[in-house]
Amino acid sequence: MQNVAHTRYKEFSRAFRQAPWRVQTQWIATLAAVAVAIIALAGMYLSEASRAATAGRDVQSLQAAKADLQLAIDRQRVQIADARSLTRLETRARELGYVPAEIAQVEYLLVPGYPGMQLAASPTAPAASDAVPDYNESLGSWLAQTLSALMRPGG
Amino acid sequence: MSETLQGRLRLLLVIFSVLTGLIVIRLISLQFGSSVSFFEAQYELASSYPVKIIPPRGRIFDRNGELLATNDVQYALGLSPNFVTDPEGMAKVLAAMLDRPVEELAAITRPAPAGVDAAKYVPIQKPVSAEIGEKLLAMQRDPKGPDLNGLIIEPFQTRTYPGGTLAANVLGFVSYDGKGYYGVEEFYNEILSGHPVVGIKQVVPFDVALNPAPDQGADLYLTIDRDIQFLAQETLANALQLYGGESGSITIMDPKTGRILAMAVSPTYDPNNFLTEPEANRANPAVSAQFEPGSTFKIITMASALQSGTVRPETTYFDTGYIEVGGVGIANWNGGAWGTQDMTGVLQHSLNVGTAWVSTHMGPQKFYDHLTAFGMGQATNIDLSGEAAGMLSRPGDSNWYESNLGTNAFGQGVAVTPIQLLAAASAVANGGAMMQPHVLERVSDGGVVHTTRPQVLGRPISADTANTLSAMLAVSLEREASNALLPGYRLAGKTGTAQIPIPGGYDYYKTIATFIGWGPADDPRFIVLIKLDKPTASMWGSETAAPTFGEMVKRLVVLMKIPPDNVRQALAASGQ
Repeated sequence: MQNVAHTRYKEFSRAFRQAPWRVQTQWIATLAAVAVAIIALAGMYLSEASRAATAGRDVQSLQAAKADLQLAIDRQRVQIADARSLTRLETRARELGYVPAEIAQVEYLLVPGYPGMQLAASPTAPAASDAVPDYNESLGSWLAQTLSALMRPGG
Repeated sequence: MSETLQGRLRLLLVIFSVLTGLIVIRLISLQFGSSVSFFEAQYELASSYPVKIIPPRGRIFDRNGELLATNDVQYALGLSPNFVTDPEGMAKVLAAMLDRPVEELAAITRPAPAGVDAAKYVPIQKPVSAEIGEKLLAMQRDPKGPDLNGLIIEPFQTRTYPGGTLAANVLGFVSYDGKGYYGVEEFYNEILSGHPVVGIKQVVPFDVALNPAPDQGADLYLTIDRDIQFLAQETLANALQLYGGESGSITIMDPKTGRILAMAVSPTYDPNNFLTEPEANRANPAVSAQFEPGSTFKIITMASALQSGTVRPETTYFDTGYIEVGGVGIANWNGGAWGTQDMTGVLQHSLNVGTAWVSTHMGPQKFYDHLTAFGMGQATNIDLSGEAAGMLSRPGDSNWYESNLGTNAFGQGVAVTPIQLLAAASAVANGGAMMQPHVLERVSDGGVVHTTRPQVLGRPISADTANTLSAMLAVSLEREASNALLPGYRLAGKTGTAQIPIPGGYDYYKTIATFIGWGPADDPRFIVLIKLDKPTASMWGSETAAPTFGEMVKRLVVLMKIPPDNVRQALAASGQ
């Protein structure tokens, strides 16, 4: 009696046990999912890292370009100042036939409302809004921004 | 598959598993173990290093915005011997560019002898002009150019003065360490240089972050007028050539504000080549050199006497040509007696006896109190480095004698600087108010402009006294038919011929010729001090400094757009 029951239990179990190929498929699927997740994460990391490196390289290039431009600006300022030097201007004026004005050659006129020669205006600094803001985006804020952009109708 | 093969495969599997496990364990220990900090430090060392970020130095302009000092680029050439691949070729290129012997450069570029460690860096030349530096850089980058491997061409910021010697002694210079010396560059070094910051230079692009920005140096606008400065320097050079002077200075100030419009000194120097110029020429004797002023000091004595009520313009005395004060005999400049003279006559003939008579009548207390009120013996605190305070002994000082009361009255035994004398005399030109002399007009700091307000240094005399004395000085010039006069303009002024003290007395053959003058007398726009040291053509201020003043003012009124008195008065009348 006991043997009969045991035999029936084994038959019952065999009938309802998953087929080996199913178990294997489930394992493979799970492992594949994990692998895909890891690859996706690694890919995302690599992508972000490469973009950050590219951006860093761009920043380095721009910094170098800025330094070169500053040197060029300095050089051009010097060249302009040299071209405007009094010695040069006086020589050029004499070459063109000009001579220093004598008192008798100067005629003074009264111009109503003219306040006289004003002192040089000081150059103004760029407005504060022109300045580049600090980069302060976090991963969380980037994700939130991206998700909201995706969920926006028509986005 | 045979069992033997399976066994071998299992063994291999076990070996690889063990090895992989070891690697994983090692990786985990490296990532999270105790050596983390060591590797992080190594990474930091290799991937980044601190750099000092020096902001560009502020520029200096004249009052009209003309550039007087700015920044330029020069280069430093060096060598990394281990990277040099063509030492002889490089030496030839450098010799041609730097105008130096090939052998000298080849000795630098050649590799170190066997067994001797080569230096990591060998300096070749600093500074090298921007033109040469840029040409060498272009050659180095050109694949078809000469082999300049191992040559290090580094740009660095330098200071440049487009006007060369123009206002050099006012401006000063900046050394290669970025520090200002002399003049404005030293006095305003903190404002001009800004504040450097230390940032991090990242080698790995992934780690690049923005460094903090340093505080920029502010731009300075001076009260100096480039055209007037040029005129003053040209006039001084011509005067020294004409009269055979050894050195000299011309200072021009606006008496109503204390603004220095020009400050020319000779000998001067080119601050672009400060290393090769004589060091003695770098200072600014207009603020740092003390001298006995001689007769120009009579302006101060007479102002003090008029202010104290001791004399009036019409007060007379009988000039015998000699007066004794404190046991010391005082004579006039020509040794003559001038008979009855009023106070205008004292100034007109520049009588030593007359001014000594005035000071003794004032008494030491009043006399020295007034000299102190005029700033004698005290620095004016002009915003230029190296100012001297002059020297004035007062009763009670160990080096004061009773005779000083007489000799000080005509500018002997008292030492002043040109700027001190000019500031004191400006009180007479400016209705009694002595203005603070200054060279800074305004500061432009990141778009914010701070303007210097004229300040009153003191009021040693009243407006009445100032106007009276100004008129007396104008009359005395006109009566003398001085070479300083300019037709069409009423000017006031006084000549001076100061003996030069030497050990044991005075040098009777060498003098300091001076002239202080201002105009137009009724509404002064400028006050000028001409000082010529040891003129050889004539020892007298009236024959050297006074005509120099006249020559210069002739062009100064045109530059400053000051019409002749009649035109000015007519314009003023029609404008009202």
